[in-house]
Amino acid sequence: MRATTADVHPRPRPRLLPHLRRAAFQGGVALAAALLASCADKGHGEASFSAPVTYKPAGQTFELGKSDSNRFGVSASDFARAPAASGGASAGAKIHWETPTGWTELPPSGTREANFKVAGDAKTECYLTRLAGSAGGLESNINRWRTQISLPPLSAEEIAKLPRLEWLGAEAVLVNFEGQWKGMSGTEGEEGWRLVGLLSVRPDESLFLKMVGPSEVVSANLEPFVMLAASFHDGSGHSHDDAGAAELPPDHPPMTGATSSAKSGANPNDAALPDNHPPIGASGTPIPAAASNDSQRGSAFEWKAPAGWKRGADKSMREVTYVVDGAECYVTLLGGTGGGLLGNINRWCGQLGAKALGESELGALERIEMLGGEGVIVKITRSESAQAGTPEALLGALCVREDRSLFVKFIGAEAVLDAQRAAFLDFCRSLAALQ
Amino acid sequence: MKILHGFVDALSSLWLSCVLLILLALLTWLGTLYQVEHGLFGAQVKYFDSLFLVHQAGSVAIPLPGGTLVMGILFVNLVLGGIVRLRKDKSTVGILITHVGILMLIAAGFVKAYYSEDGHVTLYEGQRSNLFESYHHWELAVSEPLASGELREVVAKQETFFAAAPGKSAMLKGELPFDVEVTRFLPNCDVFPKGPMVGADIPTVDGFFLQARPLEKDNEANVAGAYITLIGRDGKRRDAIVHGASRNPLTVEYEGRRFGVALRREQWVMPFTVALDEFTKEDHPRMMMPKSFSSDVVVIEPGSERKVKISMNEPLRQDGLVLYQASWGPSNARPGDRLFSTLAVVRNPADQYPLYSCIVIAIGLVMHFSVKLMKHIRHEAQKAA
Repeated sequence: MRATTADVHPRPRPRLLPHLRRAAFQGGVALAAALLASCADKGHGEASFSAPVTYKPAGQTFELGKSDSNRFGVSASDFARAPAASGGASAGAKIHWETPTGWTELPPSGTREANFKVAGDAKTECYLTRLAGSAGGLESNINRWRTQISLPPLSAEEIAKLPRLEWLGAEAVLVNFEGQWKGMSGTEGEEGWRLVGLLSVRPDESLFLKMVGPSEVVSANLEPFVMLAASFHDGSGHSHDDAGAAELPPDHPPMTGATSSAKSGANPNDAALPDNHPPIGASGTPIPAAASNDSQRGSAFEWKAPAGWKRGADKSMREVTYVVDGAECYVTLLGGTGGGLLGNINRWCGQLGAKALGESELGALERIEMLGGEGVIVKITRSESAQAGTPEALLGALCVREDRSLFVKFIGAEAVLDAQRAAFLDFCRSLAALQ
Repeated sequence: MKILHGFVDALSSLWLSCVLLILLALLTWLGTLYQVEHGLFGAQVKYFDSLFLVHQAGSVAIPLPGGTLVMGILFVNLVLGGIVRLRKDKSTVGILITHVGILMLIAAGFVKAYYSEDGHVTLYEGQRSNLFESYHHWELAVSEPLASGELREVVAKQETFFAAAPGKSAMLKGELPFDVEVTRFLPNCDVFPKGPMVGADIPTVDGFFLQARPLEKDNEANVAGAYITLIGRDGKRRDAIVHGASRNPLTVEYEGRRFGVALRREQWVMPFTVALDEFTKEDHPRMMMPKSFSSDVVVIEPGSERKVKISMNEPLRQDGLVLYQASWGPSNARPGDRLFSTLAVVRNPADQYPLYSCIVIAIGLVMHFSVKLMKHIRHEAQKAA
């Protein structure tokens, strides 16, 4: 026997129409009353603080007496000075750049010609400073930065070993320091900070690009930092391309290769750093002198190197770099979605002057099995309107996850990329995360 | 009397139950679609925490009752229809118990919505804390350090000042030698120094101004800021900016006492301290997929310490709080890097209500179907006889 509504409601079944009419009327009254209540003006007017609560914080710092600059992590005092110092080789020449995705461009201030808040993190800042003349020289500036991050000064010999690269038409020194941030005033005390910078000291004008903040934020933003550095140009043709050596003019030195150590075949970063210096970039692995088909291991992944691919110089934020027939392939790991699948594909499209993809086109892209999930393969070719020096084509694999994302970027001549496509896909499939 | 009868009839009818359940299904569907564009928190606030809402279907605006209102009416409908109008004899005892169980479930939802505290504590290995903070809500806190090393705090919840805007300021008073007037609240903004080349269309205070940003889809990513005016007992006014990402509070002095004023995520004090000894993360072999993660913590109480492992399905329950393993970071950490662990902390007085409700509902259904079965067997036996 089935249960019927008569068991529950024994009254005679009410006629539908009057019932609904009544329900609508009564419900309407209730809804109107509730609507009025919900529309009541709230969120301003007079209110009371809670009753006082007393507690002893455990492990949290509570510091009073800090300046606004300290509180907000940006300096207002610079604004009292005249804007934009100039002079030097590029005197008067305005420097242009592309703000990395997710960063916020701040107004220029004092000597800061370009000024950024990094990835929405209030503590982490990055800025380009332009000063007339040698601005005190390379050594004093490097050691000033080291003092700010509670590290002892480097000797001239140690500074000479730091990695060099070409930046804005001149040599620049790459530094990467980690320690307790004392700040400009020497009064702050932030543990676990990292400072990454480029110093280009010239007789007539000096440029300093500096990113400083909590280590984890700076580490996660090394690629945008390099891309930003690469994007700087002054309209005179001095610029840098993030694609690296493969895309640079034939006589262009590699971007992060330390000229002295690269020749020796050792890791340029490690060779250039003092003994107690943390390694720069993704890997401290020595660079094999020749190509190898064996399994390779980086700091977070292992993989099988394709036949004929030669290991390139280790670079900041790259897990590994390979070079084959003038094309370059490298692997980058970023935190979170790293800007997302479509965002990164369209960033790459932008680099090659190609038309951005839409959501609908995204679904049609090839998928491969990668790192236990799905990797998206994309091929982008340079548009006719692209700037000179832009790579002819890009073959990319993107494995985007909520917590971290891996990008494999293969750039160079289209014919080479087509010929190496199978090897590239095998390489992507071979990537495995280390425990 | 006739009106009252009509009202009770309407509120207790099965038709109303059906309409409410259909509305709940509709809200769930629309809320899920809305979530794609506007994030979980936005969908929750608009479709489920509200009394009314306007759903935008293209260019057509559709007014709808919100989840809170629908659930409230459903509660009344169940009480009146299921308990008041239900025939009460031994054949309906099971149904009655089931109704009570469902009411308990809805009541648990209300208790959770209005009386729970929900946040997180994030620690690097070696760090400790006795505070947890909200993922979503802000508060304006005035703290006074005491000689004993303690902090004496008064706070104003976001609800008291979130609508502050020019001409609609919020005045906050408390046991303080000054009042705080919130003159403008921005739910997502940056704080910038004001330079000679920078135009700002809102006030500059001591060389800084707040610049509003569009709301982020993930509410946790929004960082609020506010313009405030501190008004001493002598009537002197001092303008200031407070921002949710500030490293330290604004320092003010009144009547020889120093106070810190901060806009921060709503936070609560735990009756114990949690210290993170070690965070362990294990990935599936050769993949970027976490298999499990756990935190070895020390729970410190006055006079005692004990070690506890908090893992994904094994929370720590203590003093009315539940600490779950929620997430970890930095997400791009490499083997050997220092990690942090985020523990979700919930104080929910109705934490176990759903379990009890399910037990009550199960008992009710078993009783009801047992009665029906017995009835059926007796009926069949009579037929056979």
